[in-house]
Amino acid sequence: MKTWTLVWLILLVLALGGFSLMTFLITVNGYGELRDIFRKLGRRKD
Amino acid sequence: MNLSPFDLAIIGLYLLFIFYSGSIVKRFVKNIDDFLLAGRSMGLHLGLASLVSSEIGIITFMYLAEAGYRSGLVALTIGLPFFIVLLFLGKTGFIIKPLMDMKIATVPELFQKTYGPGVRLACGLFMAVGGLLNFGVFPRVEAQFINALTGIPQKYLLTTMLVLLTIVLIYTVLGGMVSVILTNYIQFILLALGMIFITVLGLTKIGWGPLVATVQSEFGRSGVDPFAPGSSFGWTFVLWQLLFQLSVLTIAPYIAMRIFSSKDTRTGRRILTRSSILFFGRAVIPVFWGILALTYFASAKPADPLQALPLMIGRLVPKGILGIVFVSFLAASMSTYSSYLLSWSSVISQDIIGVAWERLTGRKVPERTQMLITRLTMAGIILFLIWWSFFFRSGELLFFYLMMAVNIFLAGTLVSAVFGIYLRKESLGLLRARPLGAYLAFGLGAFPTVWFFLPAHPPVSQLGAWSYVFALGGMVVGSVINNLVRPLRTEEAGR
Repeated sequence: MKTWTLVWLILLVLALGGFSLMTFLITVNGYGELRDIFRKLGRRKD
Repeated sequence: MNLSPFDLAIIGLYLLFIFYSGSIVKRFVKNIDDFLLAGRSMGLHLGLASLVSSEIGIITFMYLAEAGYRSGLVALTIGLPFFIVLLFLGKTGFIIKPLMDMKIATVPELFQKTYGPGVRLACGLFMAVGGLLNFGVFPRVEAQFINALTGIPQKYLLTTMLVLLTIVLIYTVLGGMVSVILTNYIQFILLALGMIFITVLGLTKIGWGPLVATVQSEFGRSGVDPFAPGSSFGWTFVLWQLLFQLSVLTIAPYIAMRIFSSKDTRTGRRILTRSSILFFGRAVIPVFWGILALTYFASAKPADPLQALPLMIGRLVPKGILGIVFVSFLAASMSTYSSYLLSWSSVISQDIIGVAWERLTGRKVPERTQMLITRLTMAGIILFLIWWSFFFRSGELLFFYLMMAVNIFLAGTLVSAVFGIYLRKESLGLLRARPLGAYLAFGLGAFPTVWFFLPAHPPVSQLGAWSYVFALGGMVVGSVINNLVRPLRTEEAGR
């Protein structure tokens, strides 16, 4: 039972850590991609 | 009411922003070329935000948390198949790559090309039944969540459902491609931060030690060890879920439309690989919330297990922050509803009505009529959601109900797609994939799932795994018979 408890704790830490890291990457890089889209659209408008 | 005036103001501001974003974006998007340019420019990270925000809704939190609440730590197993399958799909491009290379946007379109319009129509029918049974419980469960979280009495469930559906409908109608890209990005950030915040808050306020002790006292060994006798989360579950997730992540229209609309095959595969980490968290974190709720209410459990999560969040999160948390949940749901509504209405209007129309009249549906049919279908789906929400009750875990509903079409569709893509060569002789094989794969694959809806049935994981065996058997037997009775004509072979 102790081994399984440890397995679930590691799983939770990996899930939360991985999810937080991906959230950070998407927030930062997604903003850049979004800015690019609007820049392209703005240029076409001019 | 658990919400303070500040919380209500936050919710109001968020809704205003979401609806106003459409008109901000309209300044940039003047015509169809701008619209298409925006779609083609969607890169890896916006693609990921779009996929994840449309695949996480209040319903996701509710069914996963219920699994944790009613089964203990073993329910965390749910996260592993997502991770393994997405990593496999991203690295190998299995099914996804050939479809994207063929410029095919949906699996029913593949069936039209490989098996003919009849199989596309059959697939559309199975998809519509399974999809609507799955989608049909969303409004009630989500309204229950909102009422428990905010402190609105449950007798106002219908009112909450109607308000929720109205907001979603306005959001769906107003949202063009660019405003969806923008709002999905913002919604992703909100829901992800909300998820991280609640997990950390729950862990610090409740603690890991008390959580383990509660699981052991409630379930004994079967709450911790997935291979304990009588566990619903052992090898059969993992096997079924690997096949199930392989089907959902390649076939389900709401996921396929996100992957297939990425700018190239490479980006599509990178989205899948990276999303393995996000989908792993998407499954594990809410299951963990359910176990937190079990620990929190260990001495005085709420009558309905589905209420445990929102009640815990309503009590743990301080007023003033609750509005922000509520907005993150609402954000999660709006993109999910919108994506499901568009997907299922397009399956009904294009893969069922469109194909039937073409077969009956010999002509394609005129564009204006197609638009009218799609709108009427959307209205019909909304009415069905309200009706089914009140009609259906299940003693099973909501997780199993939702999985089995879509399982009606998944096994047959996966087997037919794999055979249609990889096993169409002439050298295969009698085993070459043929329409009768696809029809039998759909029919037999759905059989174990139909059994689930009857009062007495074997364990759900067994039924789920058997549906794939049945579908495979149907495809092989049907194709052999088809090849024997009606060998392939030259014009069909060229399709």
